[in-house]
Formats: sequence, C-alpha cells, structure tokens
Amino acid sequence: MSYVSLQSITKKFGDVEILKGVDLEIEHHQFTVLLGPSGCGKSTTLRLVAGLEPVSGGKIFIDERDVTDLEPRERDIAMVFQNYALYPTMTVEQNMSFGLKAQNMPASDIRTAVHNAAELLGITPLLARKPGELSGGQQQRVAIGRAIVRQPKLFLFDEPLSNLDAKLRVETRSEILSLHQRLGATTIYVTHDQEEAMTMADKIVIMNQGQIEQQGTPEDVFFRPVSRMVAGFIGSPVMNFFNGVGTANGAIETQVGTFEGFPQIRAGQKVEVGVRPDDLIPAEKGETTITGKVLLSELLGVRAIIHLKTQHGLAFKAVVDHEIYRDMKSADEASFTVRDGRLHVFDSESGKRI
Amino acid sequence: MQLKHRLVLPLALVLSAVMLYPVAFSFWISLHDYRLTRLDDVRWVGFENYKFIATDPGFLNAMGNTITFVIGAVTLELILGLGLAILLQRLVRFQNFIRSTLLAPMFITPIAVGLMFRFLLNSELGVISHYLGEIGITVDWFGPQLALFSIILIDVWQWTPFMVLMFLAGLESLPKSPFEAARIDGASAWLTFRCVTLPMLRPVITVAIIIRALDAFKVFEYVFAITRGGPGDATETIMYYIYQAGFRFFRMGEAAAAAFMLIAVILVLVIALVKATKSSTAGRNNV
Repeated sequence: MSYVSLQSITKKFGDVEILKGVDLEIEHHQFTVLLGPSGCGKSTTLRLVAGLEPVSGGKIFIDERDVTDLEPRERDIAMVFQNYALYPTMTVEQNMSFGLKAQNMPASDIRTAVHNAAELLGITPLLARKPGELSGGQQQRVAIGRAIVRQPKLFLFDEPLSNLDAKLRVETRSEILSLHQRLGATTIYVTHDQEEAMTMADKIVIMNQGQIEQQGTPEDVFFRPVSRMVAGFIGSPVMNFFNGVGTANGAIETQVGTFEGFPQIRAGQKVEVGVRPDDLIPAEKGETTITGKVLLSELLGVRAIIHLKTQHGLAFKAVVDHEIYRDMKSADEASFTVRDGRLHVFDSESGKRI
Repeated sequence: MQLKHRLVLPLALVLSAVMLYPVAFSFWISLHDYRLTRLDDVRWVGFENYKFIATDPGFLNAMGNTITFVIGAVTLELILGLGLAILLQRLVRFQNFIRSTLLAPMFITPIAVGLMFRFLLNSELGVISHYLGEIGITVDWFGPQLALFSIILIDVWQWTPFMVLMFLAGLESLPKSPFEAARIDGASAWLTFRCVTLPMLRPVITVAIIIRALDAFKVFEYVFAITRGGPGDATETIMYYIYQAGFRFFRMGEAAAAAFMLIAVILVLVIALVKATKSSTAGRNNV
C-alpha cells in the first residue's frame, strides 16, 4: 500500500455531493499537488485527509494505518492554511510551540525545536512578535514553521500562497519546495494555480466536479492531457481548440484546414482539435497551415503572444520568438503549422482524448 | 463664531441644560448643608458632608454591600454566561428559539422582578420555598445571612442572558481557522478554550464586565422591592443609602456627597478596566 491512500472517498454536504468517489495513492516523500477550478473538491479532499471534516464514505490510510475515523491530532499531520490561521493573541514563539505543548513535550525540548525551525525559516528575529505585527509573507513563514516543528508524517498545504503578492509567491514557492526536499517530507498541496502545480509537483492530480480527471507527472498532464478539460485547464496561454469532423480516410476536417494521420477516427465523428499556442510555428510554403489575421500582439520579453482570427472568425493565439514577433506585429496576416506530434484530438461528446 | 461651532451650539446648550447643570447643581448642593425641610437655611459647609459620609458607618457598610454585590453578581454572570454561550454555540437546533427566550428576563422591569422574587422566595407563601421544603430544605432567603446573596441571585437570573448574548455574538465573530489549527495541533478542548478562545474573546469580556458592573453599582429596585435594606442594614446598597438620605431624611447635601463618592469609585473601576482592554488588544490590530 502507498504511504497515503484514499479509497473511494465520497463527501456530501446535505444533498450536495462534493466528492464522488476519489481514489488516490501517494508515495512516501512525494510532493503531490491537487489542482482544479474553484468548487472542484480539492480543498474538501484535503480537509478530509486532515480530519477536519468527516467522510461520507470510503477510507483514508496514512502510513498503513486506517485514520478514517480518527481526530486530526491522532493522524500525525500538520496543515498550513490559506489565511495562515495563526493564534492572534500569541507571539510567534507561542504559536510555534502550541502543538508541542499540546503533546506535553518538556519545555526545554520545545524551545530547541522551535528555535531550530525558526532558524531554518529565517524568522528568529520575529519570535517575540505577534501575528498582527507581521507582513503576510512573514505570517505564512510562521505558519509553515508551526507545521514543520512537529515533524509530522504528512504536510497539508491549502492554497498557502494565494494571499501573497506575485514576487513573494515565487520566492515562497521555491522555499517550500526546498524545505520539502530537505525534510524528506510527504506533502499534499492544494492550489488553483497551474503554474504553481507545474513547478512544484512530483505528481499532479487534476480534479473536476468532485472527481479525479487525471493524475500523473507534470509532463504527463501537460503533454498528454486525457481530456478536453485538462487540456484547457493546464497551460498558459490556454490551448487553442477547433471543431472538426472525421473523414473516411483517417483525416480531420476543420475550418482551419485538414489534419491527416488519425486512423482511429471514424468518418463523421465530431471531434475537437487542440493545439498549444507554443506548438504553432511559422509555416513554410506547402505545409498545412492555419492562417489568421493579426489582431494584436503582447510582448512578454523573449517571447510574444500573437492574437489572431481566421477568415471564419475563430480566435486563436500563438506564442512566437522575439524576432518573429517583430515581423509579425506589423503584418496583416500570418500562417502557422503545428509542431510534429503536438496535435491533441478529443471526442466532442465525451471530451476524452482520442 | 465659525459655522462648525454654531452647528454644535444647539446640542451643546441642550446637553448643558439637562446634564451639566444638574451635575454642577448637585455638586453645589454637596458643599452645603441643604435640607429639603429647611430650604430657608442653606449654609455653606465646604467638604464637611464628604468628611461625614466618609466616616459614616452606614455609608461604609452600604459601600461594602454594594461592592460585594457587584463582584458576586458580575462574577457569577460572567462564568454562567460564558459557559452557556459556549454550550449554545454548539447547539444546532433551537438555537434561535433559545436566543429569543433568553431575552425575556431582560424585558421585565427590575422592580417587577424584585416583587416577583419577593413572593417566589417568601418562606411562608413562596412556591420555591414550598418545593424546597418538600424535599426537606428550608432556607430563609431573606434572613440576615442570605439576604444579600439572594439579591445577587435575582440579579444573576435577570442579567446572565445579557452576558450569554454578548459572548455568543463575540464567539461567532471569532475567525474559524485558529480553532481548526488548534484541532490539527492536537490541543484538548480545555487547552483550546484557555489559550485560544479566552484570549481572543477578552475584549468582549471586558466590555461586558464594564457594562454589567456599572449597572450593578446602581442596584436599587430589588432592595427597594424586597428588603428595604434589611434585615438591619444587611442589604443596604449605595443607591438605597442615597435614596434614604435624600428622599426619606431630606438631607440633600449628604446624599449628593455620597453620589459623588460613588462616581469616584466607578470612575476608578472603569479606567482600570479600559486600560486592561487596551493592553489586551495591542498587537492584534491587523488580525
């Protein structure tokens, strides 16, 4: 059995079914990210693992122990909350000591543990302050400190970076990651930010409407999305989609052109063709091209996003290098071809990858 | 005169007429030998009234009774109120019903509450005394030993709901996440209450204590309706003392002086409590 195992977990609030049977295996020392749009059930899943909410059905195992009906304190976990959840009337040191105090650890040991953790996070000068006197980033560090000081079996993070500004978010992101590696911890991390998920995760679990849509490495979900939902959710700027119909000879006809080499597609089957803006490259003569009128362009630095519209009025985007951007931004029209093997085809009805 | 001053002027005049003038006039009275029976012979005595009051055993006894009453009543109301509020917060059903029921005692005018308990606790006719007697307990609720305690109990009956409602509102306004963090941290219910709930609730508790203590210092109706300060002077409170001096014996000078001394005591108490609130809220302004 894996280190953490969720088996057919369901959760209902009244008549509303939030989780519809979640099965998830997490290995020891793995950094797992639960990713999904708002309301997909990712935070609820985390709260069930923490024991803050009872499950409606299914079982949860941590380190081969059935913890389904145990109180949070009996599960040997630590959690970092989105809004930090520090105790406002206690100092930073008292905040970090509280969990150890609750375990009746001797005062001298508590002091050592807290000071070591504070040293690790660089918050030793803040120990005597109260949360109200700290900035958001400092409060989040204290919250992380409170979690690591207890050396739990499992770390749970509930969107810990969403209240921080962009720069601090990137900094704290790498800090959490290096902390995870240094402590050899097992972590479940919830976020709605796909960039966070891509950069941090060993394993990404994409959730949608109370179910797991896809799980795998960041490469898996980025390069081989199993469904239209995952393809549209992962990647920035988002994937371009064009409606198409299968033909008798294994090709797909779309309004932007015909794509060949899909023998598994039936004639007349309705599909959606997806291609990432990064996989559109300027076309040479004689290739299958997607041509569009240049609407506007956004320079990001080395790369630029070009917004285009086909003659049928379909909007799409392409990401190009700086040199190409210079020619393209003043051009009226631009033609692209799809990088080899980077075309994603999804069934229109089921949304599944073909 | 600037416009802003002119705009404040009407209110300032009204307030002066109804507040400043009476206060100034009673202070003037407190410095005179002012008796309603001898209004033609009002004499300046300086601080003689204050000196007399400060050494009058009757006044000191009344002050002692009042302080006992305030400490006893407010402490009991605080403990009961906090306990009930925490229990009520966990109640899923009937919470709103119980909340509105709790308001009932506060709607009754204190003099009626006094009269009601005078009958309920009467050792000959009282229904409470009757049923206690059935199970073999005879208590002389308004005897010399218990009278002040009984008055305290009546106050607790009427005003604990106020504490409950204050604390319930306070508890519900607290952020939920520190309590979840405490559950994860493995804190027992008692540790969570002592280290998380109580410190966060402290500002509300202080305000509730100030409001109730100020009110309790003015206790008069229960005493007037039930014991008239007796037996002996066992339940004579400051307000009852002032009432006696001013409106039974018509010695307005002494009554006014006693009133000002009560104000001084209350002022000291309020300043101390407000300072306590400020020190407890410092450092959590952003939370």
